[in-house]
Amino acid sequence: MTNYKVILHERLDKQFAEFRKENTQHSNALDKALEKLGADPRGAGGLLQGISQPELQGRVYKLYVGGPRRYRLIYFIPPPSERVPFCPVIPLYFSQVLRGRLDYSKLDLDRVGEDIVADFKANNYSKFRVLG
Amino acid sequence: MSDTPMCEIPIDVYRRLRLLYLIEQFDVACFGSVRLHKTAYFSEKEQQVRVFTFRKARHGQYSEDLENTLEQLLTMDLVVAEPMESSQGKGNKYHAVKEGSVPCPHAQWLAAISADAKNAIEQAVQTYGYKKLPELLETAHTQDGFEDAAGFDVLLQANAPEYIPVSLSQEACDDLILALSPGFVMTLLDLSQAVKEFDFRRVRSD
Repeated sequence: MTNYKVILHERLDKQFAEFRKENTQHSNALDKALEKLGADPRGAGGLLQGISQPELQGRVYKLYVGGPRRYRLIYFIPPPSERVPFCPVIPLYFSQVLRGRLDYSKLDLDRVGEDIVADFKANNYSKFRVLG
Repeated sequence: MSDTPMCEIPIDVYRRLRLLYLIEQFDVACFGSVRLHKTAYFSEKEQQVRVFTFRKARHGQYSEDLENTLEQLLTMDLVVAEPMESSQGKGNKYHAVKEGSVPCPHAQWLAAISADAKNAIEQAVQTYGYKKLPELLETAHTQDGFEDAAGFDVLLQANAPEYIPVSLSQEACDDLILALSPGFVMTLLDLSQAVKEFDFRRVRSD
């Protein structure tokens, strides 16, 4: 059985904390979603459709926190590596806007997850933590 | 599927989908940029909603919008450009990356936006995509208005609105927009490279 671990960047960590504070009714849903991500990330969410690049296919997932019409969480599951004793699950984007109200024209897609990727590239280990 | 549009997508996303679908229709590859522009021109010509403007250039119908869109698809690793062998002509051949185990819903998405556009693209590739280049150029250069047009005159004007209504669920629409957004896809491609070198054992645990 694959041992998954959620690797959380500090910016999302802060965003989740803010979300819990502002949406107390969905706080449990977020905790449950993150728990599911660590236990069975492929079963927790659905694949983002239309990704045909070989290095990304079957690795980009979406999950709705608090139900199908709620808050969107996008995460990435890299291929397993012999160097790492677990399979990382990387949340990349969390929308605090309800799905039906999310206007992509106002969302700067060029910057989504940019800071997280930059910290991976720079090996800024202190910016991440393993959940659970 | 409901006929009622449930969401809208930006015109740029629709352009990428149309060009990607066109390139996907070629059996092996689209041999050359001239062929690509001409095939796209014929696929757009009779469409009510056109996404690319074509002008008269040295080799006939040419679209700057298409060229920009092609560059985006290349950057996103959705289309690959390779030099043609000398027997195949000059320049590049273009092919879409082969989908893996997860089928991509490009055809389904396009049909949900415009079944006519999807059919016109398939038809154009079959009719014009494999013609010998001199024959293709002759066909293109004998189109109405071509001879009388001066260099860089508009031959076919794009008329699509900035946002395109789509008969897809909100979720499918979200996927379409994200999967065809260069910035988002580039971030994912960068991430997939960056994690290869990252030592996850050095990340602190709770």
